[in-house]
Amino acid sequence: MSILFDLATVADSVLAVGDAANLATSINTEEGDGQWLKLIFLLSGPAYFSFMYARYRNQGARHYHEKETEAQITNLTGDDRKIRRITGTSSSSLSGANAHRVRGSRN
Amino acid sequence: MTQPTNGGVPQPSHGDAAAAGQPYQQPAPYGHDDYAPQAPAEPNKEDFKDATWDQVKETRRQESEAGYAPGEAPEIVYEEHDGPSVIETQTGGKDGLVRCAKCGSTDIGFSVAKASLYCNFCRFEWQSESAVDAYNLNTPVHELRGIHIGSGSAEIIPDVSQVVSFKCSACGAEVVIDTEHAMQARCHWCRHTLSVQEQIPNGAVPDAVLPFSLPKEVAMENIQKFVDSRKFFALRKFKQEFKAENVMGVYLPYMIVDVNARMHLQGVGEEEIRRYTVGSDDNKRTVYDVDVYSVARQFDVQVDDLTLESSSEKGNIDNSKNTNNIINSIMPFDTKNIVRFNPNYLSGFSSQKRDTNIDGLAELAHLQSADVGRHLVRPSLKKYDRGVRWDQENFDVIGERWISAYLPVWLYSYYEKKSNGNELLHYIAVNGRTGETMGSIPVNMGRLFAAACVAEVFGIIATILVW
Repeated sequence: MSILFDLATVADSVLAVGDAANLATSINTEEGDGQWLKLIFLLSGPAYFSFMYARYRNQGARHYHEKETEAQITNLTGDDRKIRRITGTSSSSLSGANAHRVRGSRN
Repeated sequence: MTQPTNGGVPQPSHGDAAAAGQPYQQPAPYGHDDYAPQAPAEPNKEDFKDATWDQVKETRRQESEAGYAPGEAPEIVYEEHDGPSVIETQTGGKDGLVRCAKCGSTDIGFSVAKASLYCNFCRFEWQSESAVDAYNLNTPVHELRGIHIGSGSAEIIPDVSQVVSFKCSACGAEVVIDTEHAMQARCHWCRHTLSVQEQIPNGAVPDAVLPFSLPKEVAMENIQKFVDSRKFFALRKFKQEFKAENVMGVYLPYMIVDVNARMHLQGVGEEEIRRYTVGSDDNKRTVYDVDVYSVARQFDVQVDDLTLESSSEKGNIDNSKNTNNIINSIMPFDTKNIVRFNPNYLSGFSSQKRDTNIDGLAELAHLQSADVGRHLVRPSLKKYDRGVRWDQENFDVIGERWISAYLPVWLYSYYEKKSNGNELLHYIAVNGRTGETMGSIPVNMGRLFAAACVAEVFGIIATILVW
């Protein structure tokens, strides 16, 4: 049963590669800028290894204390002031954004 | 802990109000309609009636250095504290024989299915009182001021022996219990069960215990399912030796912490106004117009039952050396159901003693509470779709409450000795209350590498096909 499951996972990966290939082709056709995306298939081996290793060893598993602990905030006040406008920046996100960072994790 | 009143700010009292023993009243803000500036109080001439000229000069000098006009110097009053207040959680029981209330037998067991204690002699069943009710732990977290600790969470004194020895009160024989691993032992002469239940400063007897409620059969089933879905790349020796019935019930030591704090965050947030493509056909790129905001948030955060490992060994999470993260990941527990400590709940299970003090965990508790606060304030930041960067953070603890408890874990362990000589203890853990299961399975690296090579071949073929 488990062998079947894991072989199915390999098959899924291969099918996913096929889907991604179609995506890359369509990108290439529509915008002429998807050539680099085709190289992503060369990562299939390392990606499969990483995924399965993580699934077995669960090294990233942890207690999500920030979400799973009962808590509430009260008396919330805020101050939001526009400082300036930046036009034409090529950066897709705020540099150093850390609102999602967790500092008290034990691993 | 000695703390000034008013959340860390000394509370001044001025002139006549102080003299009359009345609390200082903060004047209305400047510019407010109700605000009327008050004339500075005149110095009380009686204060200097018998003073020498040197004393007057010294008083004037001190007032001048303090930045106050003559007679205005506030008298700073600190509220006195003797330290953290202690929540007394001693059950009143003595080390030795713990008897059935009905027949007096010491042969007491714990039924996981019924979550109750029972007498093996007369079959009488009972449950310990809820620790939350008994120790008044359900007071709202926002009302917490100062530090409150359970008497079972007291500092561990290194010189206190882990081995407790006492006389069996039934026959007088000397009985020894190593509290590192067990809280009960049978008298080798009269076969009575003897228990440790007095809180001594070695961390062995906690404030409370959360009894197992998940039967061993269910834990075995969960572990079996977990392993069955991960057998293909599992180490062959592990597959041969795995037996779910070898799972052990263990009570592990934790600290349950309530934190009432004030948090202030200051930083920068960015909102995307528009995005567009610039450049020629061969050099197209996406650029963004962005509004940059100064963002501040201030709020009170109340964290209820934050749970921390208080065993230094289990709390040491290092993926290169151990798999303790597995045990960490099966939290949270339903800690509202903790009961008063009774050593008979540990009957038939092993336990691990607490060896970490509150001082060693306080920083972590505050860090995790701040994480909770930052997480809860995120919905107020939705406008900033490019992200928020907090540059300044203040986390001021107003009150906190610490309770030590044994929490139940079903634990399967497998000791892997690798070909390079390294060793690793793999855990598969099941939460003894909720059934949440997580594990680390030793991997057959050769087989996994071969499968990854097959995937790589498919990837190369796909690349050739689409190129």
